[in-house]
Amino acid sequence: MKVFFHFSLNEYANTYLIGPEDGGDAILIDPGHIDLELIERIESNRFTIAHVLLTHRHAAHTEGLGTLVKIYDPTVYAGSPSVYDHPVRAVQDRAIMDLSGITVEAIQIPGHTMDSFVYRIGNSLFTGDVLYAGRIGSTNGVMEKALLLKGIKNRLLTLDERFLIFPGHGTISALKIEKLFNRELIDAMAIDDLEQLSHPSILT
Amino acid sequence: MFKCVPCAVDGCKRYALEEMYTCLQHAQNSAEVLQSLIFTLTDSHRHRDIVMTDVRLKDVDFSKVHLTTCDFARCVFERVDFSDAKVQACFFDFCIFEDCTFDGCDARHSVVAGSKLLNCSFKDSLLIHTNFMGIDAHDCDFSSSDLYSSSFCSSHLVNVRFIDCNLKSADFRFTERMGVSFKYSNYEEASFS
Repeated sequence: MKVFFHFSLNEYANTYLIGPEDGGDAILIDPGHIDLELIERIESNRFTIAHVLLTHRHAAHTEGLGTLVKIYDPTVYAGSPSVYDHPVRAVQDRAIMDLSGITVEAIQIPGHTMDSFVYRIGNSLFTGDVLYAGRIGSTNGVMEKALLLKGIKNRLLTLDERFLIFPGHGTISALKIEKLFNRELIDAMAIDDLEQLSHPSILT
Repeated sequence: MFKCVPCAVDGCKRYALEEMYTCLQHAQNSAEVLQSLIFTLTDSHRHRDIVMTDVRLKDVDFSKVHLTTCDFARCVFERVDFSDAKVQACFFDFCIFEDCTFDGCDARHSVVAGSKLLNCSFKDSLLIHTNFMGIDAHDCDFSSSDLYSSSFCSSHLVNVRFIDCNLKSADFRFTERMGVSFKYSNYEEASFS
């Protein structure tokens, strides 16, 4: 399996292209912007985009979808089926999907948006805007932040710390690196009771 | 992608070396195995997905190697020459680099996090989207390099030069800095808090 990175000028988001060594059906994660460089990379590896995984609905991660579906005919997977003009197959939390021989596990971690998903392929986590190198995802309020932190704590930090992180923005990383050096994450996880953080009483 | 096959020896937490069942420490004829791996890496071809973790390399010439998505975690590099090399999306996390040169290197998307760097040179290098989180760097020179969107978050930098660098979107939050120079660099576009 090959993984390629594509850096989009659309809000500096990352797009990931994953496909078999010898070409064939491939997966594109977060098509924020489709440009000639990405098309050439797809074609030179003899890939056909058969599947698109969206980590969440924000334009920086989805805006290239319109261009992409003019060239290929992918099945699009996302957390909320009603958002996009293109037909979307709704992803369920903990779903294990076989996408042309590549096994993908869907991990729902709401907070940055309510439809945010992390996709696990092998020992790699495609975290979208849930967790970046050195940062945690932004949120609109304290309830959303509590949801995000609980999701990261219960669903990501419990995984093998050698898992790699491929975020929606910025540099790639690994769980061990984030546990040791991501000060935002370290400070947030120091809060003993994340349930308490989300309790409405703290809003008053 | 990295294959990450565990070493076959019970209780060993290291990964098996490329095309082997064990890590270097548990390999028979480990010196020959290491030489063979170095020979493979330094030929003129592009290599990807090579796993070579927990290895000590001294006085090795890796200049002009072309490596993609390779794993060199926890290695010790002493006087290793990576000048003009392409090491894209490679993992060098928790390594020790001493007197190494990366001048003219293309290390975009690579991960150097948690490493200790002593007297290393990264001049004229392409280091966009490179992860230097938590590094402990002493007497290092990144001058004239493109560090766009790289992260030095939570790192400890002593006598490190970033002269005439592109620091747009670079992350220097939570760093401890002594004798660090950003002369002629666009440090105002980097993140410090």
